[in-house]
Amino acid sequence: MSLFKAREWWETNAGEQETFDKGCLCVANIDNDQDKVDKIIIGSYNGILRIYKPSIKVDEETGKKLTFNPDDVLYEQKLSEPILQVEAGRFISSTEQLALAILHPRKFCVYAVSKSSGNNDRLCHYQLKIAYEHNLKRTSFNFCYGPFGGVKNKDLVCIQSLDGSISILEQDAFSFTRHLPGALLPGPFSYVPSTDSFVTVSSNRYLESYKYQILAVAADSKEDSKSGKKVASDWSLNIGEQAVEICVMHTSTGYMILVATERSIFCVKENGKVIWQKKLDLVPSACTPFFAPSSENIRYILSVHSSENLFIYDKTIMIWAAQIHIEPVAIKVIREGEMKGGIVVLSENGNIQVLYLGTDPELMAPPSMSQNRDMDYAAMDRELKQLQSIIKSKSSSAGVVLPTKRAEDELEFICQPEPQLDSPSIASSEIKEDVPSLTYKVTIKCKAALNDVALSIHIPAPFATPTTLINIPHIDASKPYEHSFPIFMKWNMAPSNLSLSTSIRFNTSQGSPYTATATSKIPLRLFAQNAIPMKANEHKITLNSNTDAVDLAKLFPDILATSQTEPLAAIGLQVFGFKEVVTILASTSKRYRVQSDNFTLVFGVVDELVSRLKAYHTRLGQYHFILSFDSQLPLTEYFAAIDAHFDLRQKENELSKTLGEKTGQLRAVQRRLLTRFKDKTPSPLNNLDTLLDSTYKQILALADSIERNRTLLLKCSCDLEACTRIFCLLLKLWTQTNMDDLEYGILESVLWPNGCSSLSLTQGWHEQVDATITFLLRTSLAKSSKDATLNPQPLQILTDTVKLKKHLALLIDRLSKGGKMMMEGIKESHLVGNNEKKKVEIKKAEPIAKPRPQHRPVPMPSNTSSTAISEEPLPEEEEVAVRKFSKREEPTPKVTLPSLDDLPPLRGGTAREGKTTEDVPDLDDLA
Amino acid sequence: MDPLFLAISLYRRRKLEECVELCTQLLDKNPYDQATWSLKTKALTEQVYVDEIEVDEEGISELMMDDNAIATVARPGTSFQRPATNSGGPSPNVRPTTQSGRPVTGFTRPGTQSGRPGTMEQALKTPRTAHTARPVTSASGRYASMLSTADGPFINVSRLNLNKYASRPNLAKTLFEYIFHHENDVRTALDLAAAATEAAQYKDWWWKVQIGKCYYRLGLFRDAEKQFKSALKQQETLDIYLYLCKVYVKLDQPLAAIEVYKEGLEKFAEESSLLTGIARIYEGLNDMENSIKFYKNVLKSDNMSVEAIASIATHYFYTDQPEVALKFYRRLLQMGVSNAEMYNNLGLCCFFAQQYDMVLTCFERALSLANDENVADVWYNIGHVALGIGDMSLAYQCFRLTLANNNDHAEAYNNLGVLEMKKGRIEQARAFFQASFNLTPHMFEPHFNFAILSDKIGDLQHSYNSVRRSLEAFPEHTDSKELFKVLREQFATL
Repeated sequence: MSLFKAREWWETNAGEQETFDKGCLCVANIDNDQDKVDKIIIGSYNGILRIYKPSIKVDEETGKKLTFNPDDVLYEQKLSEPILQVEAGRFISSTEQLALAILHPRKFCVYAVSKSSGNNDRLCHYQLKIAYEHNLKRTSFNFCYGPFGGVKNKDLVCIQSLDGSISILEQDAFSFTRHLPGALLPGPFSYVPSTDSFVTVSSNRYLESYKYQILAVAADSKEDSKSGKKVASDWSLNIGEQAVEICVMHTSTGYMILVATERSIFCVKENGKVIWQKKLDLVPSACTPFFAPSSENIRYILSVHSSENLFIYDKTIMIWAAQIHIEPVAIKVIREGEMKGGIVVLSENGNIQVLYLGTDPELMAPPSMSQNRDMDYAAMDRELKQLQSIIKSKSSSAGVVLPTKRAEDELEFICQPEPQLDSPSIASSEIKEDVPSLTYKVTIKCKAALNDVALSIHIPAPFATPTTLINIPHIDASKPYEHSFPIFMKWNMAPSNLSLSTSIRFNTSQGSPYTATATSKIPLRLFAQNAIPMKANEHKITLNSNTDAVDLAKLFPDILATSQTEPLAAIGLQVFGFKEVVTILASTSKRYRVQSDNFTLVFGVVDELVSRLKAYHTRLGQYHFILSFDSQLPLTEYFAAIDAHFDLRQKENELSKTLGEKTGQLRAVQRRLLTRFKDKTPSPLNNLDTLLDSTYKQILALADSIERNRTLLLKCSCDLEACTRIFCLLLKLWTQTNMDDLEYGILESVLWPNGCSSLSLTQGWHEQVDATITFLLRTSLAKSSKDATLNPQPLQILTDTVKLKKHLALLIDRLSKGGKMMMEGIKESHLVGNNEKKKVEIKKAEPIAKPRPQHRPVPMPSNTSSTAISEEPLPEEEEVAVRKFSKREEPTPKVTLPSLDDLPPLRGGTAREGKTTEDVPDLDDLA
Repeated sequence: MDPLFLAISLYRRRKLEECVELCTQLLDKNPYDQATWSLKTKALTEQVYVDEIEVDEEGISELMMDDNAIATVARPGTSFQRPATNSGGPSPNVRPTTQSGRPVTGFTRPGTQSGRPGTMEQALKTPRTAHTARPVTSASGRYASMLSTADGPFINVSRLNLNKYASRPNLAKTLFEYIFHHENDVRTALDLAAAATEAAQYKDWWWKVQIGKCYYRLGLFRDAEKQFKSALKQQETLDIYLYLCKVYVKLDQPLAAIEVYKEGLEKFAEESSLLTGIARIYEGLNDMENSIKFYKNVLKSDNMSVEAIASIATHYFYTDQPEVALKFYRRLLQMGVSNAEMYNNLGLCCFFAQQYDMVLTCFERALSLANDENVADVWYNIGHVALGIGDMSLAYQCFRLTLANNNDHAEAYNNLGVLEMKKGRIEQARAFFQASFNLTPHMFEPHFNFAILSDKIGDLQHSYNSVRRSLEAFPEHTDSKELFKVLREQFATL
């Protein structure tokens, strides 16, 4: 984040695939040249030493300034060991000239750099002559140098090793080694000349100063721990942070120690007193003193990690910030030469730049919006008008997306069973029961490729399939997709619904969701098998027809094991899992009779019989075939099923209520216990813990019994559904009603067989059926227009089934007297009966509101994010727009109060209870 | 080259993952190498380190179960709870407010989004800038380490012999930071710190600060304050001042916090973190004048402070000087802050400073840079500009787009209501206003608009109730007061 950019003066890349770090950069007039120009010395961890002399050259041809000139490389050599640090100092005893000191992991070398004179600059070359070298016992980390002990005109060297001990080298002689107390990991290390001491930050985060004299006379703890003084620090300062770099600066007020730590910068006097501290937002990577001419201020350059900027501070005040394009590991300033004051930065991959602080702002060029400047306003106007008319037409139709027919020719979706039962049955491997299974095949053919299609299979209760949801990642247009799945009877329940539906769901290429469904009928042989017909059954249903009874062998060829030729008058069917046998009798007197001991089983058989008879006669071309039912309706059986179901529901209600009470009790006990525990003066628990425990156990027991009841209820609702369906069917075939398909549809929606499995406690099957029957009795089946009132009773939980039964009986009574349920305004399309044909039906679903991804962005604290997000101001000036309404002089328009019920519910719970204006204002509120 | 040296170098260059990897290899060879162990601990901590001073997101339980505030009904201007009582602040008519009645800030920081809600219901409602229905909890607000290692945790904290480590200061400090930041295990960290401070004979202020940090996390603010004060006696360090102020802010004693900040400034003059702290507190107290004064001081010592520039710009924007605000925002842009919010703000400033040629380009850019989170706000502001130029249909469409992007945008509902009212569609308008004030009960505009609407169609009872709610949200609103008076008179005559 800075306004300005540091300008590049000179730049080069030292080496490929080499690593550089702090210590690898040194700026000095290393060859002791007369012109006093500072050279840049770079040593890499790969052991390559390079010396550059940065210069500004102008390309003679183009007149441009060159940032690099091959002549600038003075020296390049690969040394045998990695270079950890390079420094220039007066290391050679015979001369006061600068020499180059190079630290290797186990070696310390001093070289004299000299220029062999040539006639002109181009011909001269440089050479390195080794002055002396030391082999080190310990692996070194870094070193510092200076006139230790006050020696004149020469520099001694102090090497810190990885284990935290320091060794002093007096030029070509080894002096001594001392182990610093408490050292664990070595840190930055510097020498303060004025106090003749070394400063470092130890592992326990103290800035420590060790006097050279004390170190010299102290005994090494390792070699001779008994005699001599211990190594003790001169002073120490607890800074509480790990140091990154220590710079010693010489100012007019004496030496200052500048410690850059990971979180802040400390300025410490040579006696260990903190002068100031500056908190940093980012971790600094390098720091170096920066002296502007004629200034005695404490100025320093700082670079930080993860932000490509150079910051220049004067004490704690930032005086300049400039963008750079590398992340430096080391910074130095050129003191002499034509680039005096240039800032040398080195990146870890060897990019060296000499920079100056230019005032050209670094303008961030936002990406262009890539728009054609020459705009055709007329065309744009037309487009806008067109779009607006679209918007208008859409908004008038209240956002309803109309289905399009086009999709139909895009897709073919078929679900059909295989002609034969599976052999062996898949059910035996899946559920270990010996029931047959049948494989269904789903075929999806499409003209365009589809992605992410979800195929779901809905199977009514006693039947099941291993997987009901299949995700198809891709369907190719050329190859139809096929999927086969087996179905079989899984539970011991009477089949109550014989329609199997499969649906697919996918998004079209335009992004709108589509669904398609295909239905198929579950065949008889999947749930019943041939058995010996039984007589004297409890429940009988007799159907009359207007033609001679058909040979049952012809009607049920698939059930009979062997092909029979002689006519069959009776056939027994046994539903799997039940002992009872359903017997079909076809008498000669144009009658069919279905009888069984279990009424619920009758449904599947009657349903099958009716549809087979119809199909059979249609095949023979006897379209006048009529099947009718004229005996007593099986009301007793039906009512028994209703009662059984109702009893279970009531039991569940009671259990849930008890559970509610118990959990309430649990919470109350918990609360009491909690207050007891929280109380500062402990009081006895009064057996509350026992109570808590027993309540908890009771709750568990209750929940278990609810579970059990739920299972029973599920089975019972299946029975009820079967009964309801057979009841509907019989009502349809009843001679007294003579119902057409349309009326049958209404009847099915009134008696609502699909809703039997509804588990709602308050609005279950009984309540809803009762309500719809009551409605019918008051409207289309009303005795006289006087009875026909439209005010529906509020839906209440039934206490018993007496009323429901009464209403049902009344409904049958009215229907038998020729009452019609048909009302004006019911369109045929609203009533969808059971489609027994396999049929492709494609609906364009309304786009589903996509739930927004809900996650709260945790704002980053400003110190970690360099691009901070500013919260935008959102002015709210809607007041301006409203004030016109606030004028009291306006005559109150005659607007009738709209009933709030009509309001479109915008958001859940927004519509408030509408109060009418008759409400007298609360006078207490006015006072 | 020595691998440990290389590891230190990698750590220095912030290649933390590589450093950890190398340390792991070294430790596999020699598991008792303390230096390597310490370096790996440091590197792992640095990966997840966030300055504790800045972590300020308050969880819902902290907000609601907060019984640390001293006075329940504080005197005006002495509490964050009642920012509206300070008379010097901008009127909510001009500058939008958060739930707690504090004006919105110019810079999103942790803690600016929630404010201090008065009731549980309010706390559960989402603040304006947040996009989730879930309030921050103590779990989600913290930055615990989610980095998992393949072979279990590096240090099994529960099995450490804390006393052994506490007596070794060169290991203990690193270990503490690891437990506190990386493992987020405050209790163990506290145990370690307590043992270590004892081992150091209570002479190391660093440990006291760490104990204070632990106490703060555990909600023991008074104990934390004691520790920080004791540490401050030993050595005056910047961080201690900042931590101490954080405690006072938590205790809802803004004036005490400012006092401490000023003490700190005497020692560390012109320190921008202290100045920023004061500015934030004044902002929280709705004392904009002082807040801006200190933000300007921040710029004197750190002229690159994005927070200060953004806050000052926002202040100028809402005090009717969009041209000045524009200069500040432009400066931010030049500094390289380039995001949707930036261009959005620039666009608004341009519009109100009547530099119409730039408005559309700015918003175009804002839209192209916007993400799911802020695109709704950009559309909302475009809708505003459309209102300003009188293009009602464009405004309508913009607000609809706002809702399409964020269907909890209460301001857009309100403005749509106003537009519907202009079209004369009373029922629609009513529904929009209801939606708006159900979302944000703290905004007075939908309440007032609803009152006007109800009054217009003769539903005086609703109008009366609404205008009362409006006055609750903004007691000084003149139009509301007038309407209230008229309604009272009418009821009195009945």
